[in-house]
Amino acid sequence: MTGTANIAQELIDRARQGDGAARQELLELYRANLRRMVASRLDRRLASRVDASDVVQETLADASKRLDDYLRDRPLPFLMWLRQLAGERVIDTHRRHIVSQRRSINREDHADERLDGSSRELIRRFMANDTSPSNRLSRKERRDQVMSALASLSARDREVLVMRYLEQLGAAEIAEVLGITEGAVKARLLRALIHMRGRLEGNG
Amino acid sequence: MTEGSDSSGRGDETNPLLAELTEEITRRLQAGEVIEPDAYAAQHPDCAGTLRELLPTMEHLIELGRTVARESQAESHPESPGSFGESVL
Repeated sequence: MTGTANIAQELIDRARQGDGAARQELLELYRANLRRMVASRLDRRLASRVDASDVVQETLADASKRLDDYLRDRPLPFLMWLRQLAGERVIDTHRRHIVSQRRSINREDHADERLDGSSRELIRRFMANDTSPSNRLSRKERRDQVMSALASLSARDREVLVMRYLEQLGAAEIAEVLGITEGAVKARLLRALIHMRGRLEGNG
Repeated sequence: MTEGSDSSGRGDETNPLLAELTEEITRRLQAGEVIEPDAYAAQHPDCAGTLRELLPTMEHLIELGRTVARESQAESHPESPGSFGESVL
């Protein structure tokens, strides 16, 4: 468990006993984490209309409303729960602003699949927006290849690679998000890397 | 260097030492260090082949991560922590 996760647990315990300040601190604890997650997954075409900080604020307001239910049932680790809410907000934002006429978002209850929805948006975003004439072709081609390979992976492989390499979360943080051990995260990352390498080599 | 294994073997996917080493290499690459595959090969000859094969994939992903981080920073705006009451929204 990370130091932050320990702090979260203490705050949860205090919030369950009715400590309002602990409740506020708990909601504030992962703001930067959520900001990084949302900023990396929000479509750049929305930049003039949507600020990642606003999406985070909406997520935290939503979390605040649902916090009593969460504290009573605690169906998921706290960070996982918050990231699910943020992932839903990102998907809803894209759906409202960009993709409402193209497709509907499948809202499965499984954590990986909810997270995967926003990781797909991240991949789509970079493949759709890397059109600057100043980009060198070889660099763009390589990035497109990496993105295509990433997009072709299973949701399980893709999500863990997105968290580790694109969001730059540490293995301990990913463990907290997924509710598995750090060793299991490293094993999952290794499998995903091997599969990714196969895709890049064209034999996966 | 002895190429002790390659990542086509299914056993590699469940090798805990390999998982630890790829995580260590990822951390070092993200910190901007240059990785010398031969140094790892000398210390871990059984993992040498797979590590050598996976290194370019890790480097590609890290480069992509840096691009994402740069673009996210460029798009970010100053934010101030607030409260979460309904009056905020």
